[in-house]
Amino acid sequence: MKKNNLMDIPHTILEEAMKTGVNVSEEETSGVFFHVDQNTIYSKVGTAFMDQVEMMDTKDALKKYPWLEEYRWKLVDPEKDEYTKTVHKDWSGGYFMRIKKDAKVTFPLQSCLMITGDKSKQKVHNIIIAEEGSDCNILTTCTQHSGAQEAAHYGISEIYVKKGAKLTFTMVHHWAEDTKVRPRTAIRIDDDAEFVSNYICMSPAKDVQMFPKAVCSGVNSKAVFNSILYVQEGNWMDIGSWAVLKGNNSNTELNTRAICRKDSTLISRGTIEGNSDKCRGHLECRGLLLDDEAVLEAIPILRATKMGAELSHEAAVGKLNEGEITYLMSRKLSEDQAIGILIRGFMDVSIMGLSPAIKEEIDKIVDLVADAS
Amino acid sequence: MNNNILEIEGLQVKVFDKTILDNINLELESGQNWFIFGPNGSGKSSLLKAIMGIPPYRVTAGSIRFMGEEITGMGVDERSKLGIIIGYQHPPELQGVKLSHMLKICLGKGKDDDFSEDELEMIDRFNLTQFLDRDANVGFSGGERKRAEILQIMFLQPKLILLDEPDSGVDVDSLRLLAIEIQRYLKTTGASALVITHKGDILDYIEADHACVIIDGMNYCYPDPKRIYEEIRVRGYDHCLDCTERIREAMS
Repeated sequence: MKKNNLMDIPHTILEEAMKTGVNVSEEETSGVFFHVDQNTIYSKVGTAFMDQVEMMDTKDALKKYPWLEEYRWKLVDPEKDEYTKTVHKDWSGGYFMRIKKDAKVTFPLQSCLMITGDKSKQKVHNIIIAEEGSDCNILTTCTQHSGAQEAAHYGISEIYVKKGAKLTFTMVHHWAEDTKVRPRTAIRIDDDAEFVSNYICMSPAKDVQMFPKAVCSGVNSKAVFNSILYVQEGNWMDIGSWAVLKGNNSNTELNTRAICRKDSTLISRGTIEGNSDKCRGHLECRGLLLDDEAVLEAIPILRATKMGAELSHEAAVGKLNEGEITYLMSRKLSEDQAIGILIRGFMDVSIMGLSPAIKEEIDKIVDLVADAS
Repeated sequence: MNNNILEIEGLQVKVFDKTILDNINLELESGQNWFIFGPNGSGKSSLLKAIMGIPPYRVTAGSIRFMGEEITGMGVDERSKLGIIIGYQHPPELQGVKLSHMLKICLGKGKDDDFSEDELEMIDRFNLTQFLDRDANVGFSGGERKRAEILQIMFLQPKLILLDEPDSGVDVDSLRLLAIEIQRYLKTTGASALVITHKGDILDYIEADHACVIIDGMNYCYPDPKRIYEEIRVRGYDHCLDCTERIREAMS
């Protein structure tokens, strides 16, 4: 049932959302959206931002704006796989966000997609349009309530970043140990526009597979993907990002930091396609294995079809460097202290410009990992 | 009880099965400083690493005593806590660990603690203020790394400093700055130092009592540092080897 006031949302749901960094105070956000299981229960834009931002359930948006059909299933092919087919056939809504022309949204737009029911399948379709010259930071969290079990999340997201716009899209996944997750995301970036994705998955999820694709179609367009992953006992994650450089002078950076331990598997993919006479891309994947029970695969792919494409990659997976541990021990630290400092350093995300709440949550988990190592 | 801060007796060091050092003997009196010379690959750095307990350098015979206490079975951290601190020739890059954090570790401070006025002044004297928020050693030039390394040592307040070529990869001004700071520390605290060098400039700043030459994993005579450096500079290590062999014959 749709709520008019954020505080009408059950407290257990708000508490779970806050764990993933959602700020429910409404004072430092431009808008808040809650979709729980199959229903959008709350969607509100702050008074100060009503002229700048629109946010509503995608189904409502399609009724209000028939032209939105021009943006739906245009970047993601509904026939792509069984998950897109499933959502195409039957979906429960999702968020539609529109950042209006030249709007500079100083506080983040927040959305929370939550599963609370056992064996529930959440099937959402999200559409974001950052109009010309706009600048916005979106924080979206996908989480499973601690009381729910064996759930699945299938999410289609189509994101349009128009001429001169900048969109920072931070996604925090906070699943449970038995959740199956299949996001399908595609982004189109126009002239002089920039898309920055920060993806954070630090809590266990049984099975995650995602490979968002950003097409830098515009001149001087830019796509940045930062991923912070902690893969632990029993988790299987196949996660990557894919940038297609079509526009002249387009560029991309793909960065992944991952820690794996205890009977877990991470396949970290990254693909850059250089299809323009002048384009640049760099891919970096750093993975840290904390024991011999986990498996970490880094699969970087660079594909150039034009001579002017400058593409590069660095991938390094393995354990902590013994020499660095010894170095810190020569500064009066114990071996455990040295390892803790190096793990915290490895997962340093200060360059990503994350909100203090998210950074604090990451730091807490990294502290737990470091202390347990 | 003698006044030796470091006593090395009949030391043999292996890396895996290969003998790197053999029958090293050395007595360093408290407050004294020694220079160690020797050609590349002779085992100088290995000696410092063996004293510090850095793997994979393994003591297979002999002993190392620090202030009368046998330390060969101790870990790197235990030795550093006793007061033995090594300055690396090539310190590692520490991704995500800010230089400010490293300096606070050396000062025994927490990450969120502030530097004191004196500490900030010293950081400034080492021209490192602008590097505090950068990952330690990442993208640092040779001189910047050396300055960061020596400043950490100063903050750690060691009783014995092991310096592995503090003059390599640094310009004249940086060398002067570092050497003056090291000498000031040694003078004011009464600490001792073992310093590896290939160059003579540093001898102008750090007062040393002795020098020794390590060739092929063995150490030889202990004459005046400046004299032995001059001999090596003019006549090379070959002459030194002839000379030391004469000394060994005379000693046997």
